[in-house]
Amino acid sequence: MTDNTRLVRELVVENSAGIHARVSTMLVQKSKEFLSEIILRKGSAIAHSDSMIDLLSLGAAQGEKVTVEATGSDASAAIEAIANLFVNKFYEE
Amino acid sequence: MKFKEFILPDAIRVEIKATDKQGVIREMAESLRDAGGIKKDEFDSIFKAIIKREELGSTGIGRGIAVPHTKHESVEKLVGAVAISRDGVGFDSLDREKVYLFFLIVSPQHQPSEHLRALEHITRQLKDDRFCRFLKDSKTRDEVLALLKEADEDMYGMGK
Repeated sequence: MTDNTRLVRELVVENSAGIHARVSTMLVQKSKEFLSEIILRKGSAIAHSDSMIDLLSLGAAQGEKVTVEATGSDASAAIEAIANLFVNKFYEE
Repeated sequence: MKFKEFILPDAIRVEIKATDKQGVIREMAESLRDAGGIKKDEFDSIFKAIIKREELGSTGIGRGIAVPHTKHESVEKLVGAVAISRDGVGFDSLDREKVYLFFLIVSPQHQPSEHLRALEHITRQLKDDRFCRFLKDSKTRDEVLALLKEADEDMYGMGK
């Protein structure tokens, strides 16, 4: 695996409250565990996963699709970890 | 959701005196109460709920901004207050920076999307450095109101 591995995955926001402040904090903290650059997109809006302001500005609500993109040597583990949070509804429900 | 739909003009404070997190939240909740946004007899309960939410993790979202908030059964409509601190206040933010701009939100119990739309609007505007700076430098309530109006008209942020 090269250092610039780039992986993309489409996820759905499943928790009822959407990507609100506490969920954003969780995403920021999880992202910090990886070297890869992680970006979330909703439509034309882009958020760096290490910025709460970016993440909140997506306004991603329940049922909406978010594309996650991870670039770096640990992209695979990073995207898995982020996807896990989404699938587990950010452990809120 | 536009600022004009939830920020109460009478709950805008350009020079808050508080120097700590609890003090800021108290002053803002008081401004919301005095502006008629929350009921007087629910003040204590709402104040405590906001503090409790902070204990789960700071709402200091970086770049000198915080968005303390809570849901509360006593409000029927999402309401918000704005405060500016000249010297900044320690808020346990993720980036460890002091906070200068505060948006406090109290929302009804079962309307998560409204809450999300308010946060989305606030953060979209605050991503714009000019909006952040102008707001921080505002000296009067009217200046803040004019800036919020401009933001609502898509002069800043990412537009929508």
